Amino acid sequence: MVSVQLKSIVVQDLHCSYGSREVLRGVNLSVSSGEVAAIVGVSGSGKSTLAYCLSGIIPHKIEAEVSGEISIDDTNYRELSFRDIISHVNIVMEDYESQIFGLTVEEDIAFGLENLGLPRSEIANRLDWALMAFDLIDRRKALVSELSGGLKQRLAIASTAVLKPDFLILDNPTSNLDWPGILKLKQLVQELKTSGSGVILMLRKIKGFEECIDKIYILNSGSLRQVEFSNSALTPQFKPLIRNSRESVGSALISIEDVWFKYGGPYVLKGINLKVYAGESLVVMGCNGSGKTTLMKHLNGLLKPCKGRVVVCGRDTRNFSAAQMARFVGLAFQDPDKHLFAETVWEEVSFGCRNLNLPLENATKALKLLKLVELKDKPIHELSMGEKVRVVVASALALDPKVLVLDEPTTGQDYDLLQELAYLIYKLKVSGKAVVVVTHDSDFALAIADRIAVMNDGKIAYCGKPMEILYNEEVVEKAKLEPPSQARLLEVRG
Amino acid sequence: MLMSSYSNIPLRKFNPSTRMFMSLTIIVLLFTVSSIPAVAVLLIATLAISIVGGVGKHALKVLKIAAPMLLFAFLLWALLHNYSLFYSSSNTGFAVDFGIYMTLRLVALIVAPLIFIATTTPSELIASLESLKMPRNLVFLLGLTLRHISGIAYEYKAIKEAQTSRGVELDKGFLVKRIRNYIPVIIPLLIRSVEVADKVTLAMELKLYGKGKRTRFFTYEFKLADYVAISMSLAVLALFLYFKLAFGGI
Repeated sequence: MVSVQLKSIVVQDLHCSYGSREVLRGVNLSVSSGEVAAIVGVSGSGKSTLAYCLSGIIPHKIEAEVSGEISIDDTNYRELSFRDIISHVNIVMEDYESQIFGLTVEEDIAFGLENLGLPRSEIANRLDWALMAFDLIDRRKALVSELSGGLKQRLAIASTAVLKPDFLILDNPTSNLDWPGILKLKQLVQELKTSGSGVILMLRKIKGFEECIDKIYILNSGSLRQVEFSNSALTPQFKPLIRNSRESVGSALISIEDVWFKYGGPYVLKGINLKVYAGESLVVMGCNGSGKTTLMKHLNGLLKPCKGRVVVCGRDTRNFSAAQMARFVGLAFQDPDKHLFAETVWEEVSFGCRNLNLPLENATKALKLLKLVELKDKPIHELSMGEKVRVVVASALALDPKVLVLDEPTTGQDYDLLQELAYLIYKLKVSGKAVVVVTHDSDFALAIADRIAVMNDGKIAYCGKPMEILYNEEVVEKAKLEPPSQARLLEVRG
Repeated sequence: MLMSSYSNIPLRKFNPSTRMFMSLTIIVLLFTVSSIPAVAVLLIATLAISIVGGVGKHALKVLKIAAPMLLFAFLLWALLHNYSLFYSSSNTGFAVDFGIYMTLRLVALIVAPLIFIATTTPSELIASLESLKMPRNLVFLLGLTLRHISGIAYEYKAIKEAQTSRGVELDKGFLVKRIRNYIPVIIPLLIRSVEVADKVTLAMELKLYGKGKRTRFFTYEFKLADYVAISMSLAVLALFLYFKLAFGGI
């Protein structure tokens, strides 16, 4: 699969704007085949726009004003049709699900090859290569609808890579991946690299990919600059906040007592016991599928335990509907794209207040706290991922609940905003609320947690002080957690 | 659609198109016969095929669910057939025979499609339709719909959860109120579906769909068993049609 000819994609002084909003400001970039370039930037920094320009989606499919040059092997993009560009530079988009067409794994990988009109023997060869290289061979007949998010993403990459473009762009491939998922993705990128493809990774952070990346660029407000691995912007540190010890917090607001739960198949929660106290922040960590989100949905009564009970603010959730619990528990869901339903930011954030006849000032306050005031009247679908996550958090906060549950609030956020969020969580704690946060981000967990509970296979595997958990190599290794940046740096540098 | 526990049943040894043909043959036959013995024979044959073929248990489960409806249908036909509002009948009294005939036929009509539907994956369904020379774009569209059904179901659940978590009581109040409660759930879902359609159109181009000749990689070959099954189906069909045309049916 190694291509003989060395190809390169060169971008010179690329500007791109949507109307009056300039998104890319004079971007210069060059990537050769067999090379992995990482473009690191927060959500809203212009990563996706750059990815769309490189794959020809802008201006062929999405209108925007573009100036500057992009060329592949000295052929200017202007001389190429969209189909020509795509056969050289293909992309796996952030919303990779829309790129899956087959009903089964093998059908999806073959779909693009069938479209190319390749002979059956060639399709068979490439299909086998992709199934082996992307470790999907055991699942070749599996239905796409039954795959986990991580596997679907792997499939989307496999079925694009199998078309053998010279360059493959992966737009934000790590959002919602746990640490094993990130390490697996690194392996896939390595595989693509050895097969001769150039890979352009659009990332929020490079942690996990250090070993396979050849070049790093930072994209900040539309300006791109190449940096060294040691650049401090790549591993910023959170300012430490005061932690509460168990002695200084109040009474238990959440009491989970021997909770068992199943959706129909085997149990996904297996005897969970956990208490969260007023004035405390608890971080729940663990791999995808370990039961974190299922447990969070028990806190506001969306799910009721099959055995055991959950008592929140003195109310047994088995006797109250989720709607009745809404006054006490604010739940900010992960995957905001699926959970936002109103037209504008204000409508979404104030929805709960209007429903429960709470003062609208609550919603205004939540907008301010999450730095959303300027976006108040903006349609939801125009927001970046980071902004959407903040809207979800604000919507939960607007109900002024005693317990705030945040499921993956770090998605797409930059460090400044995470720092703000950490401070917000601190303030909520001080005011006597309990905050429960689910996250894969160890640095963020270290910054906010009074306690960390690690879930594994439906059970609480570890529970303790943040330092005891995340700086304990054995625990991090066994629970497959993301090592904190400092520990990771030492690991990578040997 | 096919359940994974059924993947090794005897009916799966046939090509999906053959299974579709078998199902359709039975359905056509059921509409050609007009006597209780004939419809009973067809029903027994249908049940035999589904039991030997490996979907007997599934058929039983479906029939159990349909039992109240079947009983109701029997009573309706047996008691009221001669008193229709829509036509005048010279007969009066109950039509128990007719009730039995119609109910047996209904049972067979419920089981016959299972021979195809319960044994077929969505992909095979698409392939069978393609083999019937249905337009490519139409078949592709159906495949795409099947592919996205689980996604839409997930989104529906997500919006519902997001709203109940903020105090909406969806299942409270009388029927009309409940239906009205669901409007704010359905509308974003519709808007979302249009957005998905947009994304899918772009994704199709990224997968180079459209121009040029397309290879069909996954095809299902016809084996000897398929030819035998189709010939037998055709023979039975011909026989029944002959009786129908020559003697006015059995």
